[in-house]
Formats: sequence, structure tokens, C-alpha cells
Amino acid sequence: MRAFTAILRRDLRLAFRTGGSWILGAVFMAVFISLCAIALGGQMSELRRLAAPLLWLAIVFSMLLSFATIFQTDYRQGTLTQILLSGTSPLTLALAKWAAFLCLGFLPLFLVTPVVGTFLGLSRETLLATLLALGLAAPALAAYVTLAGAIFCARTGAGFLAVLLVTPFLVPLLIFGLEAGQAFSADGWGAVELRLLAGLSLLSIAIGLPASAAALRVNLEPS
Amino acid sequence: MTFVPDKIEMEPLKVSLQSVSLRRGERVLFENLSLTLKPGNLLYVLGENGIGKTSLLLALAGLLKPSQGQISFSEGSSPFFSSSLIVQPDGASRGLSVLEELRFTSDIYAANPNFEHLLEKVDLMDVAQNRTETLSLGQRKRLSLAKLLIARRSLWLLDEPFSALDASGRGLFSQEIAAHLGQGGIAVIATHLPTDILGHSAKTLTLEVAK
Repeated sequence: MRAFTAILRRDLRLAFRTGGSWILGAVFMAVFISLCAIALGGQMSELRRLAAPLLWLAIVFSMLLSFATIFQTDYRQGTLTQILLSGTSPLTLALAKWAAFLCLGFLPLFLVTPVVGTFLGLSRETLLATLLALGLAAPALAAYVTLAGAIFCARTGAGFLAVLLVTPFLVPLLIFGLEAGQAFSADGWGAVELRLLAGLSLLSIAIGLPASAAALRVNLEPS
Repeated sequence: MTFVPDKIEMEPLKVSLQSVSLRRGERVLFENLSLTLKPGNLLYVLGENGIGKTSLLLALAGLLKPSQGQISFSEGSSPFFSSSLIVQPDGASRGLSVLEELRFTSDIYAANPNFEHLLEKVDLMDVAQNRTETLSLGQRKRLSLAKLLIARRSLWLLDEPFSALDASGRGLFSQEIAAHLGQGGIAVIATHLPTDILGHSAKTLTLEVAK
């Protein structure tokens, strides 16, 4: 537990100190949405209809593209090795990195979403539903991105492979996430899609984090 | 503040290599190496650049699997719970201060050292608030030594510990290595310049190109 909080605290501290890479996600999202708005002709009626999917895409892309930030620096400067040599289990390490990524790679996006959503003309109810669905799916998204980071921590320029590897896992999340948002608007808390999304999210954590730990083990102590 | 006595209570550790061969890719580094390390042993690993000294240390740390043979630790122990490694890159986090780096190290080792005492010992008191990336090479070595003292592991694996250090730094390292051996620890040092460690005889292992 002490190791978990130490790694999490360290990552947060370093992110705030080295300045701004965590804001980059929010900037990416703003740019992405603006470009989409321009590409779609800037018609409010059109934008309102596509707002939720666009928000989802912006967040998924933004998280996916920052997979390399999770482990690569620590791998290169030898910190991962030192953490492992301390007897800290790779699972604890993966868990801490996942939690840190949720805070740094997702939370800023989540906080910007209401603002962007309002710009796109989302109604209050739809916005709430989208936020709820995003919140439910976030742990799963982060788990898969952590997995990509763990697998490719020793490789530079593996971006394309990582995207290719993780995309199939993201598809169900995207489908159920959007469904859950709509269902919540219609049926409220009782919506089946909402529970499905929650279940899928838990499952993804249960698969993604041990797999990340295994990937770290393979990269650091090859057998 | 928790007081931790300077004396280390370590399990007497024994490490044995049985006909170990190491490879890096296709290249065979060495073959059929057998040796046993017992409490108080000091082993110098010598040899040309690229011959596999660092790889041997990595293998002892459990970070590189021998292509043949095995490395076994005495019962109930494994490299991740009994060894410390100083190697390049040294793992110091870019962006953390020296003191924060030491705090982080003691957190992951679940240790409670006296930081002031430690910083004074390795002579990094003046730069305790400076970021690790601003340290000189010698100061980084001192920081690594401080982390070694926090970890309190029985098996020290040191890659060129004396390089980049000034005379006082080399003295400090030798003194700490001697203390470590005196308490029943083991040290394996890869170097080009074996230094006499006071009161301890060293074994040397010279790696040569296979014919």
C-alpha cells in the first residue's frame, strides 16, 4: 500500500512539476472538437446530434495517444527496474500507474467535457448522461491504455502498433458507452446498458491490469 | 522520526551460479560459469568493454535470464528481495529533488531512514533540495549509494561504482562496502580499477573473449 501511494504521489507530483503534458489532452480535445465543427459545416443542429459521439471520440483518441507517457520515461531512466528490485509487485506498479493515468490522462478531459458539450449545444440531460457513461467507461479505457504503455515501454515509435493492438478492446466500450448515455437519458438509473457498461468496465480492469503487470515483467525480466 | 539503528540485521545469504551461460541476442557472452557467493564475499568482475560484466550483474539481479544453467539464492530469498543494483541508468527520477528521491526510495522499500543523517553521510546535504537532473555524475553516484543504504539488501551489485567519484567519494564507497561486508553482506563489483577494500580480501573474476 505504501508503495502504491508512493508511486501515485510521485507521478502526480512529476506531472504537475514538469509542466503541462496533462493539459495537452484537454487542448487536443478542444482542437479536435473545433476541427470537427468546422468540417461539419458549423451547423448547430448537426453538431447537437453528433455532440456525444464526438466527445467520446475526442476522449478516446486523446487517451490512446498518450499511452507512451505512462511508462516510457521511467523505463528509460531505470526507475521501473529500481521499483521492481525493491520487491514491489508488478501488479502494484501497474495499479498505481493506472490510477495516475486516470488522474492525468482522463480527469482533465472529463472536467473540460461539460464546457465543450455546452458549446456543442448539448442539453443538460444529455450532457449528464454522457458524463455518467464516460465516468463508467474511464477505468476501462485507462486500463487498456496502461496495457499498451506496458507492452511498448521498451520500444520507441511503437505508436501505430499500440493503436492497432488496443483499438479492438475500445470498440465495445465505445458502443456500450454511447448506448448507455442514450439509455440513461430515456430510462434513468434502471437502464440495462448502464449496468452492462459498468460490468464491462470492471471486466476490463480485471483483464487489463494483470496483463499490464505481465507485460512489465516480460519487459524488465525477460525469460 | 523513527530511529533505525545503523546495524543491519540481514539474513545470511548464499548465491550460487551453476554452469551459467549468458547471451545477448545471438552473441554468447560467457559460458559455463560456476561460483558461489557467501556472506562477507567480495567479488570483482573484470574484463574488456562489452564482455558482459554488466550483463552478469543484471543476471544476478534477476533482470536477465541465463540461456543455460541457473542462479539460485539460499532458501526463502529471491533477487528482488535481497539485491540492490547500481547501474546506468541509475533510476533517479527527473524532476524530483534529492530528498524527494530518497523519500520515494524509502517508501517503496518500506524503510524509515534518518534522511538528515543519510544526506550528511553521502555529503549531499547542500544539494538536498536540488533536482536530480542537475546533479553531477559524482553526486548521482553518491545518491545511488544513499539509496543502497536505504534498501539494506544483502547482495550489492555495483557497476563501476568508483568512476566519476572524487577521492572522498571513493573513500566513502570503499568504507560503506567494507561495513557492508563486515555485516555479512555480499558485494559484486564490475570495474576496470579494482580498489582495495580495507580488511577484506577480494576474489576476482576475469571475463575473456571465448576462443
